[in-house]
Amino acid sequence: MKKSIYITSKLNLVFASVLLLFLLSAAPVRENVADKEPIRLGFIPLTDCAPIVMAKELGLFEKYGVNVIVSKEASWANVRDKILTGELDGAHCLFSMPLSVYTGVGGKEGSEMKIAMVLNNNGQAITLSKDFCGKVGFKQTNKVAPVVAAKLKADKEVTFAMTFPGGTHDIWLRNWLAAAGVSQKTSRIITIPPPQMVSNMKVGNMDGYCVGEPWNGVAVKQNVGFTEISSQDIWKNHPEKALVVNTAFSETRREDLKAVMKAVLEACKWLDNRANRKKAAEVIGKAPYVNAPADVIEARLMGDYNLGCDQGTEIYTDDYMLFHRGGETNFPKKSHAIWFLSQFVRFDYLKEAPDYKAIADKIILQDLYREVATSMKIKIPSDDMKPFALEIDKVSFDPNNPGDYLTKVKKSNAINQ
Amino acid sequence: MSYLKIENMEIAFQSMKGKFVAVKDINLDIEKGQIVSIIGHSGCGKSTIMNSIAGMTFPTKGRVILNGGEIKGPGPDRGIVFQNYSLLPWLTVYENIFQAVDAALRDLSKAEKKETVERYLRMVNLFDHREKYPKQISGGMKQRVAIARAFAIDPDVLLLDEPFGALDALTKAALHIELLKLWNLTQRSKTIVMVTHDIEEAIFLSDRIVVMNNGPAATIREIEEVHLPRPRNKKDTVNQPEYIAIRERLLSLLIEKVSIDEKDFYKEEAAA
Amino acid sequence: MKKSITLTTSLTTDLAGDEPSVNRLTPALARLFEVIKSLGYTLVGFTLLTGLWFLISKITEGGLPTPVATFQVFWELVKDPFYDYGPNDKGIGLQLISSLGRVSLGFLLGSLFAIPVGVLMGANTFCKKVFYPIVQILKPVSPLAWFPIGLVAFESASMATIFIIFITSLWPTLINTAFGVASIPDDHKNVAKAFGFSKWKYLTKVLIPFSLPHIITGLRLSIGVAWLVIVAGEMLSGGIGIGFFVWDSWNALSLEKVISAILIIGLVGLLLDRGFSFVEKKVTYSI
Repeated sequence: MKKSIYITSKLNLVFASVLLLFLLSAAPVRENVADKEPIRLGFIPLTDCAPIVMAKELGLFEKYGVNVIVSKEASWANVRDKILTGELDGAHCLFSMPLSVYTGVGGKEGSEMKIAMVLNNNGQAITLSKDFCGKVGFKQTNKVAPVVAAKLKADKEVTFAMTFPGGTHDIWLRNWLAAAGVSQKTSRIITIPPPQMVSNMKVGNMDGYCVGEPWNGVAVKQNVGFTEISSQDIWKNHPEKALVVNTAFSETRREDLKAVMKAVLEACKWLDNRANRKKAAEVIGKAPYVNAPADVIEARLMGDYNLGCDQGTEIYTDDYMLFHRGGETNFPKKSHAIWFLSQFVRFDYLKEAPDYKAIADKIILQDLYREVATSMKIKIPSDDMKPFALEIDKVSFDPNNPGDYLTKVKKSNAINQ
Repeated sequence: MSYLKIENMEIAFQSMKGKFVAVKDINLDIEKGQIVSIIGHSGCGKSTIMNSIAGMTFPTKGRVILNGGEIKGPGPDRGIVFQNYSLLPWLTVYENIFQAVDAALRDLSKAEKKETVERYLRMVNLFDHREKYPKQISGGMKQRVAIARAFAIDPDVLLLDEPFGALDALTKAALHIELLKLWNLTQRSKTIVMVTHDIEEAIFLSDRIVVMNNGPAATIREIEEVHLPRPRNKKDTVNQPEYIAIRERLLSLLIEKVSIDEKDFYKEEAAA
Repeated sequence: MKKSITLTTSLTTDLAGDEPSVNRLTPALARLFEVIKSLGYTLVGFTLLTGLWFLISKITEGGLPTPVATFQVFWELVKDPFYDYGPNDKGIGLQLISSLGRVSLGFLLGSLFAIPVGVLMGANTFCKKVFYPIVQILKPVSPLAWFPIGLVAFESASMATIFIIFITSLWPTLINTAFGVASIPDDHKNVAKAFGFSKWKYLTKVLIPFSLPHIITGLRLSIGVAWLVIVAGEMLSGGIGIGFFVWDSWNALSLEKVISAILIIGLVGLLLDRGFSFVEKKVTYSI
């Protein structure tokens, strides 16, 4: 028995099979198709990933001649990283993430991602824990502060969660807290992924969170919390998610990007037809996509909000989650970008006012969208850069003069933001 | 000029407690083809002297000269048999000898090396066990492999450091004969220096016996010449007058109490 | 073979208290008996665990899913492990293979680095003194902390995942190799010195054979770490893999899938460990 040879051949076998295993599966991320490289779009399991998912499922990408691979991602940070490295060409993404990343709030300052179009309005919400049940009712913003103060006194801390610093949910939450008069300095505001929000609330560690559907609906269904206010009540028809793309992709494969946008636009149109929403909920509810109960998704998609906590049902008639609104939704407005940037200053994410206009011009691919919309005969809104106000505080915001808004809002919400 | 000469050698080591002198004033002349034993109590520096000839330890004073050249380090001209056999446990008997031959006799072809290994295996009657591993063979067999290994590299000097210390008396006796056989088979041209505790072994094998004083800073006490004729055999040699005389001499040099004295018992009882 | 018969005999005597009839069993049967017995012990252990699990699920009122519900989901997962309906919908078998691929690559790279550096550190005192503090500082760093660094360095989430496996799994191999090499007995070194072994011969005929059991032990520990890390890494980076499967199931609040995945992960980890133990036994020599 030549032991040394025996050992060597056994080891060789082990190493060879290990090597084989690696070769089989650690294959490069992209498939190198000889003619055209497929386009990778990422999404996060949320109801508003529907435009991208449905565009794939309805065969719309193929219709417009592009080969798209849709991939589920682990977190917003993940989406950010992959878009920046180019591992994703684009993604279902928080509208304000490119702005947050560019200004250094939620990423390395100066990193550029582009907003090609908006995917949806509305359909996010703030869920409060059952502990507040009966103490503050739906949309009773003025009752929030004393209740929170009481909790703070009793437990020494109060915790709210959102999904990404400088992201849409972060800003909705802070706007709500400001309107309610709750000091953001004494509340813990943390970034965590959706399921931890639900579980923490279940065990009583979380007081409230702001996130997209279906997680608010799920919290109600599991009797873990109740819906306090929806994002459309904070700002009716606000921009929520966008198709955010890698800069190089937008420049070198412009025609492909336009085809993608056309497919997504058509999906958005399809989704706004209420008759299609049931099917949409079934499709996106499946495991490879949102992986949540289709009935919960469907209810809120239809505007049917079971609020939980014996508050009954709130029916939204014209401002539940909408994806198209005849073209109003999808047009990426620079005024909206400027508004988000002003919120970063308002909430002390940025010490100094950024160059609002320049950043909006750089990040938003408005001309590209115009081309696409025109070719599809979709209406292009003409009211960008006009002042507007949010429902929750009614303070007028003029995108041409954000400084003025900031002064006003700091005065009216005397409690520090 | 003798073949192997140790000249005014002192070997000292630096330790935590300062300088430790192992041996000093060592002067020894060994002729080519002689078998010399070094004998003494533990700690008398026998192995240290061996190591200096092997080139594993360097003298702090004096020098060791072999065949005209000062010893500067280990080399294939000196073969060593260690106290613990030191066979590599993951190599077969054959491989243990082969690797040594391969390392020391680089000029030989592969076939020649193989032939050498096999020859020496046969000389120690281990040819049939050549594919076995050290753990599969007895202590005596292991030492035979070690001896074969040392001989196989065809050194001019063989250094044996208590080579049979771990073996039982019967195996030891057999190996004495094996050693002498090998020495004879190579025309008695190899010089052998051996360290041992065993007086009988020293007398049976050697031409000269170096008796050490106790350490530290051990010196040579006496050198006994052994004129017993060769070939020696176990049955007859032990009865020869010279053998008995040398044995008595060594015993008186090395062993304090040679027997139990009844007087001692009473002395201790009275003291108690 | 002889050993197992003796063991069986003594155990049976203990249990039965009288003259065992097992003496008459053939070696093969005796070995079978041994295997069945160890399986029996395992079964007892798992039954206890399952019982505890059931208790906890009842206490938490379904917070922790029951063993039965979990097993149904587990069965669904494993009965068709290799289906492939697109990038987000693959069978658990394919996801496992994907994870194993990453682990293999990271582990291989780690070993290729750790073994030579370990040999250097063990054989050379200067290297040891210089590298050891670095090892001590870097070893306790969590893989999750390495992830952003990997991302910046490689500009790719998948490469970053492989990087964190590399950088966290190499330490056990490195340390064990260094230890093995440093503890080569003087006896062996003396043989090499006395017979004039070349550096290469010393390396291949003394150093590596002596250290090989230690190296394999190190590798066995390293693969364990690597397998642990891949799950965490995939949670961070997404893609296809068992780790991402856990994360995704967690996202959907499907604890049955999470627990099923835990079982699968544990089983694979066990198999990996056993594989290396097997190799370990083969390279161990007795003096």
